[in-house]
Amino acid sequence: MQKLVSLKDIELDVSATDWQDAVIKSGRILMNNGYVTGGYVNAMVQSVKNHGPYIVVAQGVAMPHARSSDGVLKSGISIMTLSSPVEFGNENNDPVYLLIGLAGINDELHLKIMQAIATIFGDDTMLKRIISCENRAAIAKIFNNAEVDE
Amino acid sequence: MLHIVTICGCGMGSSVILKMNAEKALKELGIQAKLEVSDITTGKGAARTADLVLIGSELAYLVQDIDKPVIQLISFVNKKEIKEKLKEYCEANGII
Repeated sequence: MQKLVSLKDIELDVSATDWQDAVIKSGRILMNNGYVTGGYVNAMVQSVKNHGPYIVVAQGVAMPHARSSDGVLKSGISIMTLSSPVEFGNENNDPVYLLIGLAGINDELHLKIMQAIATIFGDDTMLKRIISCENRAAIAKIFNNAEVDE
Repeated sequence: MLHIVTICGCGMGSSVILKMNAEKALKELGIQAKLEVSDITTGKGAARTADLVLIGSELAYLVQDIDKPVIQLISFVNKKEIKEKLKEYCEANGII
């Protein structure tokens, strides 16, 4: 089975001064791994500025992303935990301590990634497990083993 | 068949998750539906042909002027919230 996440996609205990810094850092992981262009990282920030903090999709979790046409090279994600949480201005789900940077094109891998995310974040216990993970391998395992429930 | 459009900023992230979770909830409720993903630029057009719009509460202001029922979700990933709100809508509209 195709792996959705590898160790290079994950960074733990990153320090960020504010939401913008956090989004840029999660975008840089995507860029360094060849999923997106530098322009895409800027578009991720711009998207929050344009549409507000709706990317904070669940309590404590932000999913920064932009459009495929903003510079996605291939589908992938970055997973980043923060050493101290930042505020995005989302009244229901702030503060954010986990960022899942998304790079998606309309392909099967992107759908599989989204399915894994939907499964993981729909389940409070799995979310807690991710937050308490102290190493990247454990997080990669959760994502790669996320059972897709029918 | 109920026609639902899920909307987010780019049509690649949250709306895809919303669609997956809504599909699951509808299946559990025994409701047949067709779901479609859209972004905010095409979402308004897509909403015109749909019966129901699902959108995150942070983006709901974008569809406030459309003449279709809108369900706002606080969390895109909380299956319980999606299911409860869909159930409420379906019961109120005689679908179940």
